[in-house]
Amino acid sequence: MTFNQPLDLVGLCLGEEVLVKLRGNREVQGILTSYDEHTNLLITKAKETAINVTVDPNTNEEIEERTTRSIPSLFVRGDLVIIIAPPKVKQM
Amino acid sequence: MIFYQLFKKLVGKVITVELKNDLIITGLLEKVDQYINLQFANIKIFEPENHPQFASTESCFIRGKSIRYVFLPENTIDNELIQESTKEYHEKRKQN
Repeated sequence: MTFNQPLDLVGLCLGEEVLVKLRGNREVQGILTSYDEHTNLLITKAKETAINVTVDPNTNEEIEERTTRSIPSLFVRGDLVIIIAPPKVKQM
Repeated sequence: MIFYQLFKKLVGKVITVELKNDLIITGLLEKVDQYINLQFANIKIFEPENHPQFASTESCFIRGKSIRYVFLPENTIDNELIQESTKEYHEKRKQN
């Protein structure tokens, strides 16, 4: 595979598990089955997470609320995509 | 073009679309175009109490740009085949 453009790195992930960060505080993790030049994606065995960050009024700490949905076959519109990456690796 | 081909295969099937305004619509896919604009028949809105304006709507045209997700039924596509087609599509793109 020759690497001329950044999109070729996405091609490397075809068939692999990916973590996709989307606009609107959302993430999708699943197997990258298809993609195009707009970064429209087809993700199978997908888990979509909506992240809601609130501030605790007493402690002023940020609280992250995660809501997850499982979707067997998910098309994601390309204009929402921020990052496409291999899934988070556990800290050693 | 690859997703246009994919959606053409879904015409006549019932699919669910989530729009950027959080509206979720299930319906029979009638038409699709190169921009992934979609035309539906016999639509059902998710949580219709929150969207009373669509109570009497039976069919609709959805602008591709307004789509966030499309939830596809599990068995409609051959994943291996799509992966192969995607590789070929991008190789052709690079040659041009």
